Amino acid sequence: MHTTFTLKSSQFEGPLELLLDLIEARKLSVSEIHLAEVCDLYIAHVQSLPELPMKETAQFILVASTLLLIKSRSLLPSLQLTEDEREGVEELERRLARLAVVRRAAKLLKRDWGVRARILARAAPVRAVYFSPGEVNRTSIAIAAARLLQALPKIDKIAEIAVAPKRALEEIIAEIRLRLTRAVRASFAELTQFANREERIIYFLAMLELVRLGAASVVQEQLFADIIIEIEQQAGIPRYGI
Amino acid sequence: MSETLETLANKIQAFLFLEGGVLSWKKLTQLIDAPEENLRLAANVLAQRLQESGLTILTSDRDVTLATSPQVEKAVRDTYMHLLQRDVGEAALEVLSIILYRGPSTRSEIDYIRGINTSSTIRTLIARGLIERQNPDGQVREYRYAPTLELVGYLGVSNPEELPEYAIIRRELAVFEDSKKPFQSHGRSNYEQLGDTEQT
Repeated sequence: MHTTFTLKSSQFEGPLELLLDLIEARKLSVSEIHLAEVCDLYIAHVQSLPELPMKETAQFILVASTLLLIKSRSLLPSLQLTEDEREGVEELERRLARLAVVRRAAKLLKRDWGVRARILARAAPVRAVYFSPGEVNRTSIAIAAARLLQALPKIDKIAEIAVAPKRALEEIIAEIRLRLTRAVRASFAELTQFANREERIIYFLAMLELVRLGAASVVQEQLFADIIIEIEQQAGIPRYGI
Repeated sequence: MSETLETLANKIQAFLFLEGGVLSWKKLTQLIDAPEENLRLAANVLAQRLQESGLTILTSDRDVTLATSPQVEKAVRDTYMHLLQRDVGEAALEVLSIILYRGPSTRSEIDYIRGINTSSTIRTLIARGLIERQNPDGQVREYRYAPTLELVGYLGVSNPEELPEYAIIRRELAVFEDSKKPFQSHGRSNYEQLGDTEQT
């Protein structure tokens, strides 16, 4: 939801606005006669106003005094006004008439407010400039490209080590078989204790091969634990689901 | 050989696009080496040319800018609703009316016409970018407040003269300006002391 907010900055209207409200509410025009008519209403309104700053209060009272003057003259046509008083009355009338015009304009503005709005550009963010095109030519691009190529990570030559199988798989299988005929069971760690990494792999493959052939069975109690290899036919013991 | 209005119109369009906002006529005369009078005429040519497009030109005494055109109003409204929905109060509308129809006015003039202190309303209107301070010569004691092109666009016109009943209301208000001195000066002194001197 979009929040709307109003610009009513002062809670109260000024004296001219109040007076104009009273006149317009009665569909009267700004004239001396009508001003005399609304005089009492105006004073009643002013009396009901909350406490206002001194300057504002003075404005209200100034207008009230002019209204009283107008009213007195309407009751006593023989009343002679001084030059200042007459000017004060005229001024009030003119100010009211002018404010009435302003208010008419304000109504028109209110009617058109944002209805057919034309929207101005929302400033586009200026994008950061990373290089000045003026400094660039083919040579400088070539140099930059060369520098870039140098900076690129080198592809290391992958070392190719020819691992000559020192011992063939069959050889190892035969060896394990032989061992097992003697020892019935052997542990993988024991078998490979003098072997290097490659040999250990071959031992492992050999062991798998023996299992596949049904020549041996293997047990590993838990992950990464030593593997126990047993020869199958020699043991002659029934296997219990390993 | 002076330039044709057509080529000037092209240049105005280019600079308004490049600057992406409001440009003063003064600035435009610097950017495009041409008298302001010709630029204003060329801006009309550009406005004509833009008529069927999504853009239009907004102008005031001081400034010129591109804005979205009435044709696309419905299309952009949905997306930019948040910019438009902000309401204005009666006090603000009265101040804006004075500034738009009467012309740039000082705060004490506005205060006097409305019969009430307007400083907070003016401050809010400035903050919202609807009016701006003017002090062209830098010598006047008081600032004058003038409409921004944002305000003009907001009201759906391309310059203040297109406002409803502009000529009539302006004439009616002018009558009061020509009137006798007492009307002009009396009462004003009540607000004079609250003038904008603190900002100068």
